[in-house]
Amino acid sequence: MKTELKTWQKALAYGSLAFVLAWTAFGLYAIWLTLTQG
Amino acid sequence: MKLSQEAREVLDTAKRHNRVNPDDEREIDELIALMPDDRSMLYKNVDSNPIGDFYRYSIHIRIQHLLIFTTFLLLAFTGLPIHYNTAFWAQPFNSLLGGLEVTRVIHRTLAVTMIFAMVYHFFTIGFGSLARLRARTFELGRTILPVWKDIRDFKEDALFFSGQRTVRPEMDKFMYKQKIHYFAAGFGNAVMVLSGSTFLFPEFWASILPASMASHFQEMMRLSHPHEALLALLVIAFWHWYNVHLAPGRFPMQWTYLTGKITREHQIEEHFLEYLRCIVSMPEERRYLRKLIESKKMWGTQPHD
Repeated sequence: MKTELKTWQKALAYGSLAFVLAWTAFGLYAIWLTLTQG
Repeated sequence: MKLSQEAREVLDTAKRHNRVNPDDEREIDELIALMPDDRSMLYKNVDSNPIGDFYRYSIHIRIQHLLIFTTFLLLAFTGLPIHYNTAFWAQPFNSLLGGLEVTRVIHRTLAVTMIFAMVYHFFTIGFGSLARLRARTFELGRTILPVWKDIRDFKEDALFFSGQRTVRPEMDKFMYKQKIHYFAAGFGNAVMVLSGSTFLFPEFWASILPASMASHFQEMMRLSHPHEALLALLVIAFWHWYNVHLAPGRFPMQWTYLTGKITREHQIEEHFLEYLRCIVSMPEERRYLRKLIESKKMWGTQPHD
């Protein structure tokens, strides 16, 4: 059972998660570019 | 809990390395006997600090990871507009940085920083292993190097996830999945450095390769650089980030890369052999676990029931 994260820890953890999800969107765009433009 | 032969060997080795006295040895053995056979009862009930309970990575490894991931992200961001430099979106991006040539210089500087991190990593693991060999505390199973047990762990874990086994295998500090990921990253980095070097030093490669091969090699490297980059991007986004951000038990983020520590529940679930070493080397962990086991009435195999 994990203890609760503090506010700044939540901000950092969810901020990182948002960043990697945004970066994943960028990755999908890169794939689309490669498939369409070679 | 009845330990497997491998777990017993890890425990005995840890006792030897920590020069455990007979009283502590008795305490450890009693604690192991009290532990439930179903290890999931342990990791589902222990208390964990989400930012980490047990030391796992040194500051050197954390700095290397920081260098690798920041350069990786920036290399991808600068590499894409270099490769697709005629695209409508690439031209303003390159202009923002000062032109395509400037983007290239930034990309190469980042590549040198990444190579520095790789060299730093080799020094760290090289000297770390040498120090352990000299102190006679080196354990092959505790390293990132693949061993036969990984294949068995993979099979047993597949059985667990398909519902044909009740507990996950007793894995060491690095489990099979992390080893695959580590060597995939190592291979990817090697391909990127090699192919990147052919763009920077084409004359050098032409001078050492047979004339019939040089142009084919150059062409092969020109193809592999962007495609390996794309593969790395996919692996990081859909494998690594799933495992460290989205997987059950890790959400919203695994803190090991910042704190160097792993949570107690994660250590028991996926790195049980390493947890046994913690039990041997940390008397406070033994006290915590004993108190927890004695306070729980749900574990049917315990002498207190």
